[in-house]
Amino acid sequence: MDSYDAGTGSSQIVLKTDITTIGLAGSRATLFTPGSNNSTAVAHSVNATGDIPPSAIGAAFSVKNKRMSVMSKIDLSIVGNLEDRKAEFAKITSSYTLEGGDEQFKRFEALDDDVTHADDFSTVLIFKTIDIL
Amino acid sequence: MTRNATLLVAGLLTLIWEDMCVAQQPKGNLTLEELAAPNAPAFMLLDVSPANIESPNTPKEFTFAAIQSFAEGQGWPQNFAVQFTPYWWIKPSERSVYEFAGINPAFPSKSKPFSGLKFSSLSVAFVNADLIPDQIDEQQKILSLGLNSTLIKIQQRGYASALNQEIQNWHTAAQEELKIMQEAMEQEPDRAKQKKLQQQLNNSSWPVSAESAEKIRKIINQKPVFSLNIAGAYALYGIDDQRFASGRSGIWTTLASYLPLSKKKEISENYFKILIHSRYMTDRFSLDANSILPAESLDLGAKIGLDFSRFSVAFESINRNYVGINLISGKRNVGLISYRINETLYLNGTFGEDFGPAKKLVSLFGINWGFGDEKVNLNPAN
Repeated sequence: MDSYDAGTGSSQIVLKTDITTIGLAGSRATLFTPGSNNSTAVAHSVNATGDIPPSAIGAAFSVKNKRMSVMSKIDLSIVGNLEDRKAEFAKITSSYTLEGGDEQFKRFEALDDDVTHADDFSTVLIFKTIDIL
Repeated sequence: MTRNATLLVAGLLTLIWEDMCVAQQPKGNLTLEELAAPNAPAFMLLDVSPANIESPNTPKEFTFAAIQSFAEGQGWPQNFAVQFTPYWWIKPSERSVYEFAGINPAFPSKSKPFSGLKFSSLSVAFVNADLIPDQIDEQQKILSLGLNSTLIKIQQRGYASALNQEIQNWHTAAQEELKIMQEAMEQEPDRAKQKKLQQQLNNSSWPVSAESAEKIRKIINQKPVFSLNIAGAYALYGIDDQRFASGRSGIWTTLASYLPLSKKKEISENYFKILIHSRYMTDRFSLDANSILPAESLDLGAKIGLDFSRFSVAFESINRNYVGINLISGKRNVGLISYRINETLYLNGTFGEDFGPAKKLVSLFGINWGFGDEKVNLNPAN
């Protein structure tokens, strides 16, 4: 699993997410402690680009030892036929950046394992998790 | 016999009748649809339909595919077809539903009539085919290049604001759904089970956002008030190992206007339409009697008609002119009626004067199977 060293300072950790697709996209970010039910929404996309603009998710000391998840839903049902949707699925990219911690600026990308699609490629889900150290 | 079975038998009989009628039509028949500016003019110019069309996302992918194809073809690719939009090579991060639909969330009531220009697509084809109609049965190495562009597209009134609003509705619904899905995912500690859950969530029904997406699809598929498309292509023939010569070239234009017949705010399904197509083609190797000559052809076609949700009626006229070879120019003036029996079945009729040395009347009736509601016409290059 990807990780980011936030350190113990008081500076804000800033998340930014970029989704590229011509489908409809929405993203939501949370911080949670694995094994507990405490999940806090910290950022979300503001329109159907699915991009999360630079958003402060908390001070470094407060997010340390938590896990961040960013989940994106992409709707390709508006895109042509099955072959067109498959082609568009192959072109989807998603990247995540964190900055403000001891590790400064760090970029992450969704791995194949983070991405699933409906049988007819009408919807795509991306679930990316990053451990904050 | 049930009503559906009766309909099927009637359909088969009319299809057989239509085949008989079509078989009697003169060679070189032409429909208005064939004059429309094609998405991939490089392939259309050569009358080829490549089974596999590469759609590279980056120059690197294009180079790799080209090198591989040249290597497999031992110097010249057997059949290599590529279609791409250079804009996405330069600005891949700009890909979004807003760019695609020609709107801007920051200016929700304004659409961008010239946004199609930057999505101009290029098509390239390398083929081996015998396109020189001589006595020698030998294939030429052919390179064909094409460009397609929407110069202007003026959408229906209220298009941008309705689309922006519905996209925002979708986004709000998606946020609610993400909350539910994300909480479920976070509570599953086992990664393998989590992945399985993610797949299940993907195939689950989310009716609120699905309904919104369907509305968005319908808005995007509205016919424009006015649009102008152009396409051009040029093919180079390898005469032998040393020489290349110009072969064919073509320019297509399509001008379309759809005026809604209802003033209601909902998406109109009833239009008064005007379509004008033109196609200019040159071929340096046209067969005229026993000699090969350069020839030109200019086809002009227009259609005017009314589209209702199930029924359409139109008048279509095509004028074909040849220059340089002894082929007979001609006209086609026909009336067309079409009735949609259901989402995939259409009853079509054509009446009037067709191409031919003498004035020839056509009266055809047939059933066509087609797709239901059109989806967004996503160019493969996009």
